[in-house]
Amino acid sequence: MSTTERPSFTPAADIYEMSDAYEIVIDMPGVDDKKVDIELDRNLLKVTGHPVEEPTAEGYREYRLGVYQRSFTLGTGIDRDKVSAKMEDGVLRLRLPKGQELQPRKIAITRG
Amino acid sequence: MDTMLWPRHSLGLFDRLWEAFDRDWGLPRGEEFPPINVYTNDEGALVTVELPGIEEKDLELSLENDTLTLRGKRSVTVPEGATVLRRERRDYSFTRSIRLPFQAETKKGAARYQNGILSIELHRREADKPRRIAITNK
Repeated sequence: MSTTERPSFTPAADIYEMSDAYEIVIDMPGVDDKKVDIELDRNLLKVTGHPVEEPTAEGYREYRLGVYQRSFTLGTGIDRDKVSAKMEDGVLRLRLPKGQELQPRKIAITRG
Repeated sequence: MDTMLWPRHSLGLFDRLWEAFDRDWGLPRGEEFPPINVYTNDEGALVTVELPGIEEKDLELSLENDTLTLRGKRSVTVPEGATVLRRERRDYSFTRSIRLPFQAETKKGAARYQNGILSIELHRREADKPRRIAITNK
């Protein structure tokens, strides 16, 4: 099997919205924290992950190693400088905090 | 750099072993969950399983002779109070048995879970290993 040609996969992703942030969770089995690349270009968030190598010997294969690629277009109101990510057990979690303008605020009622 | 965990082999014996393995398997490729890869040589096998985000306590392995059985489940947890905007990651629960093309040494196997991949090293029983037979010319 050739190891030079790498198929590209679209990994499964969840997106959650909390009051103060969005969270994007992506399944990328085989990828460790050093092999994931996250790029934010204007409103385009691009995630690329390369799985750790497996033996190059012939084998019975049901899954192939490839490159995980996924892009997300972000709405305005994300605090771009505070985006953070962590990788655990082949799952990438991106936290995208909302800017002040998107966060809910309590409005005090003044009795007059 | 060579990162192979198992030495490359060029024995025809191995190829034939593989043919037998494929036949015995009897499953359509790519249909079963979780997906597995199996790398075999005369000494044993390395089985790798794609299982992102599973907790080790929810994973169970058993080995009996030539049959490896995997059991596990994952429940995707939604952060508290969150609104789900997109949900593609699956909850899963599975039991899957794999027949190896050899009798495995049940005391020597080792498994580890890393980066969402479960890797299981299995050793072929000494008595089950192929042996070379020397030809003596008289």
